Amino acid sequence: MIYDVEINGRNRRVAVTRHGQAFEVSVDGRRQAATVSTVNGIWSLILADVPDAGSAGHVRQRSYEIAIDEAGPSGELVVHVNGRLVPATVSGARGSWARRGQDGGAAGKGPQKILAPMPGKVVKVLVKVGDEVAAKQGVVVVEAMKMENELKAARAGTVKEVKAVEGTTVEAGAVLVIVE
Amino acid sequence: MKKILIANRGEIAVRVIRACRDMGIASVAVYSECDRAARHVRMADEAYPIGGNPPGESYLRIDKIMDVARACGAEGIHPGYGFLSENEDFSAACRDAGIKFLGPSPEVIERMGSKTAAREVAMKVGAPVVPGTEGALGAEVSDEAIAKLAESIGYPLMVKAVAGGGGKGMRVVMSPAELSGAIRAARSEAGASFGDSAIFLERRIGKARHIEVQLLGDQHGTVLPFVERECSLQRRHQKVIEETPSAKVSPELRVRMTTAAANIARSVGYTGAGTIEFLLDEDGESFYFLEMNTRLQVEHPITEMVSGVDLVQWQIRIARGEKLTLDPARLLQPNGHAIECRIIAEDPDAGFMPSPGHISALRIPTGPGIRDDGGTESGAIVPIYYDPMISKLIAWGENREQATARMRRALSEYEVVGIKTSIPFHRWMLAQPEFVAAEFDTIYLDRLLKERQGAPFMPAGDADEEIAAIAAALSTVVRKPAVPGVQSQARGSRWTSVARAEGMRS
Repeated sequence: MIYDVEINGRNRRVAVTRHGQAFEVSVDGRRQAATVSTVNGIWSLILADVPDAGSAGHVRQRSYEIAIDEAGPSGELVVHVNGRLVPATVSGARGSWARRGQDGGAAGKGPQKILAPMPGKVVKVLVKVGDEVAAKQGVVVVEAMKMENELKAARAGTVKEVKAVEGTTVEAGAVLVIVE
Repeated sequence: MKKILIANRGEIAVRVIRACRDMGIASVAVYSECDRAARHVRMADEAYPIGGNPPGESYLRIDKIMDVARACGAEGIHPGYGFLSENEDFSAACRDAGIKFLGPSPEVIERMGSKTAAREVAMKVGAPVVPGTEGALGAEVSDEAIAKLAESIGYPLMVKAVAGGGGKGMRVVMSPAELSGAIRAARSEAGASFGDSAIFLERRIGKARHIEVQLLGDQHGTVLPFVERECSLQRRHQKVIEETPSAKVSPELRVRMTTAAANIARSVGYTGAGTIEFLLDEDGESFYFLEMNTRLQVEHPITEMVSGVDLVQWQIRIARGEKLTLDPARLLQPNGHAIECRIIAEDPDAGFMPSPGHISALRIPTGPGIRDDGGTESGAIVPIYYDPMISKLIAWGENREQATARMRRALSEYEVVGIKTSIPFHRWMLAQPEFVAAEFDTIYLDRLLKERQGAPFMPAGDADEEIAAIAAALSTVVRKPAVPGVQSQARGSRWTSVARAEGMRS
């Protein structure tokens, strides 16, 4: 199966073939044998280059510790590799983890949804329906863990809907305000 | 003392319960609604609900906590840090109920909690204070009168709220033109936050280090200071990394600072664990009394690591009336070096935005020289209502280099999945040449972070990205254990967390 994995703006094409308990993976043409084993949500991934036919000798098996995390409302993954957090979006064969909409994007068109980036309490709603907002203007203040965070409109528009209610708690990804 | 109630939560509640257990003392936990299954609740011998999630409905409710303490027969109460730890009314309520408060008397808390009263105490025993106004300047003192006082102190200076704390009610004034604006701002902020608009002026010490002295005082008049802690690495007045001893404090300076600290504490009859904070001038010789914290501090473990003393056990022994039998000379001889990183549920790559939520996987580092004082675990939820610190990672080494190397190793082993933490920031911090050389002051980190303009702390290289791409693709097809007999949770990392979240909502 072929997957397109987008990381930091660059797309890598990953082909995956299952061989019993093991896999063969090919990234932009480089073929490697892979095995995965997991304990308590943390992976052990071992990779080895697939030797050319007829070649003999030692094949170096590289060992990695991996953890995979769903980043948040937009559906990307965060892959922990060597203690580094790598955001990745997978699309392709199953297509199930494709980015779910680009509503919050600064360059996008159509209504923009201002989402709660974390669970918290709505401290203040700074706009009402019909208000004109400028790009980067604060619209809602959400408090979590003793800190207040002002959420801003990505681009200018008119407030179409205000879902946030002062004093209520919201989950990560909840739609707070819609600007058109 | 056979039973102690811990009026706190998270890692410090766990820390105190451990000390109780080491001493054969029963422990009593209290909890808010969302902490029902928290680590400190399960560890304690008894546990009682005290109300809703906001601290004002539970962990700050003196009445409810005292009701539990009386009903369960607790003989002592440990307040931890934060919440009610520096609240004189709580200390007084314990005394009235005949329960030992594991901290100083209400009178001492009140006196040392006022910045101007604490300054007067320091001046009386001859400890150096930052040059400034004597006493509080109430709302009735005119701006013109304050401007005259400012002239005699000299610019730049600080306008500070008498009842201030945590950076609130504090303004830097560079020139006379800025003075009246700063007075107005400090007064209104302090009035709103602390109900007291009184201020005072202090000369601003430019490039200063934050050096503090831990001490213990018993009920028989003995006060013993420990080797200083270096806490200059701060982000917005919040300590992020502490170490002991300070690389910039000579044995001679150590004697002067610890003597001054002990004199201040002794003069007020201090009992229990406390900390005197100083500013060390860039000349490396002059130091000034800043304030006293009348409680156990977050960073107390590094002192424990280089002294071999269990400070929480001593808090209990002092409350029992025991005499301090520690060797004063030995306490001022550090055994090796210790560093602490505060592991915070914040996303350093998103401007340190809070990152509460479900921890789907957690692997805590261990091994030579490593100690983790944590309060959470895999599967737990970091709630939105409280301080975002989830653990303190402490590294001990024979010297600073070894302690640093061990801390780097431990940070690289630390795996927290499901929420973001400050670990990438700490790994970056320990790699900075200024950290390696121990050349920093209290404003160094804020300045550096501003210059970086939000650049990622641990950017992935091309090789890391390729591995991540492989893992991301494999995560969609790994369905069964790759190794027979090993239970696979690979797909669970996403699917079960979603299922759990939905299960909780329904």
